[in-house]
Amino acid sequence: MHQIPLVFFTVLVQATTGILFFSGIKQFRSADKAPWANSMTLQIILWVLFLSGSLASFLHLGKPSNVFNVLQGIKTGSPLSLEVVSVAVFGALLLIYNVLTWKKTQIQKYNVLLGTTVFAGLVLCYAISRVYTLPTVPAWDSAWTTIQFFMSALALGVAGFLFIHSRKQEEDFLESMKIWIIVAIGILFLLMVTIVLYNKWAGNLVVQFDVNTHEWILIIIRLVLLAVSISLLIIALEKDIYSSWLMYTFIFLCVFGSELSGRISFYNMQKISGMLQIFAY
Amino acid sequence: MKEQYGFHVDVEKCTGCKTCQVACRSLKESETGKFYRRVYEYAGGSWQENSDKTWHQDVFAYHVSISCNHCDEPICVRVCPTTAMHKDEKTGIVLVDHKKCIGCRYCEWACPYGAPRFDSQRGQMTKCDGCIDRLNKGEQAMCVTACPLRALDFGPVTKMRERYGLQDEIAPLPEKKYTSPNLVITGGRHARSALSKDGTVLNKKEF
Repeated sequence: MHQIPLVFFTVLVQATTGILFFSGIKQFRSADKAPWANSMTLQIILWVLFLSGSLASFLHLGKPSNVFNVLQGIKTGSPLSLEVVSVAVFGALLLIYNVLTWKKTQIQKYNVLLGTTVFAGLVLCYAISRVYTLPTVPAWDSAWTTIQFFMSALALGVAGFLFIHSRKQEEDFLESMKIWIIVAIGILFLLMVTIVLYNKWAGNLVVQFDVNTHEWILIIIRLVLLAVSISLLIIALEKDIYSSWLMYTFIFLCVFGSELSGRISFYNMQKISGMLQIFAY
Repeated sequence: MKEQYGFHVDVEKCTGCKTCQVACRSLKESETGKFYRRVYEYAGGSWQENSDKTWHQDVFAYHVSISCNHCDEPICVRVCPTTAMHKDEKTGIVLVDHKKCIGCRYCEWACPYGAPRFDSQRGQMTKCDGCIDRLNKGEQAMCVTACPLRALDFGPVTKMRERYGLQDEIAPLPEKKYTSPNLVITGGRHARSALSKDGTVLNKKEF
């Protein structure tokens, strides 16, 4: 499967933008309290995810220097070129924010920059989704692609945010953790609904539940991993488990695994639902 | 552009011998299994019950030989992030500039005809170039020359349409609305429309 680098690129970058999105909300809400968005743990995780994703995308480009060839498509409006530009803009803004807020305790004055970076992350998610809304691939050419890609970013973001947040022991820790867990349950549940609705819709166009394609296995894995994550979050809420590093790491890995499975399934849709339907495997 | 070139495929004449495929591959030396021209075997039909309780069958089968259709609105050109995929100014033939192509395979996803093929040895895309070198020497495309049934033709598409008519859609190909292909088809009595679900491609594994 030649799309494996793209599977990792899209999922890792969506995780980065999603975690930053929730970290931004947390930062905006915390007003004059302790800084959050420039915490060392958060920044390390964001950069590990983002750089891993970018590295994966280079594998798809053949060699890193090919990125300059890709920029030529900007003048013709190639969605792939615009995606590369979005990655560069997001990475640059994140770097500037990190440098300016490095080891500072008063970072509220950089909130505009943080907001801009969060917005650039959302634009990047949209740019990624545009790559796949091709009129010649019916299973991709709908608002479902954009919705799913944003839902993925939110799910990965909130799971990653909880994982990082569970390591904090702040004053308002217990209260805020409860709220974030409820938000996470809501997002993961919505994602499950989106997956079911999308596959129901796409089922009219393609044969992904054909026993010969094995596509249904990937979809079931995705749903089961999300169900496990939701169940663990409900248990955490019931039993007031807010700082179990192991538990929240496991939840994040479940959501991450679920998204990898979902993305492989998404790429396979092109093969089984292309216009000719002759490349069916 | 001086003259847009296009293929004519006579489905009535084509017997599915695949000489065009073999000739093309021999000339272009493309790697095993990567055909710039492909012959789809499309078939369907079943037994039907008549009103008097007797039965008849409506089985049909035909072959469609397809390579790149050098479309008027080629989506491969539109989505290419490097502008490597482009239309020749003189003939409108869609070509790959190998100095620019990075082998991202975006064109392969986008093309509804499966025309761009990935050459894993080069790490780049390749495709039917309409035998442009042969055309420049006044010769015909290799697939056309090789066809023993004379079911293929290639030339200025206006001439193809004058000679063979205006039909340009047939199952299992997609509707023309996506890319405006420069393709002329002679359908024959079994031909089904692009939207038809009557049949299925029988030789999927060949591709």
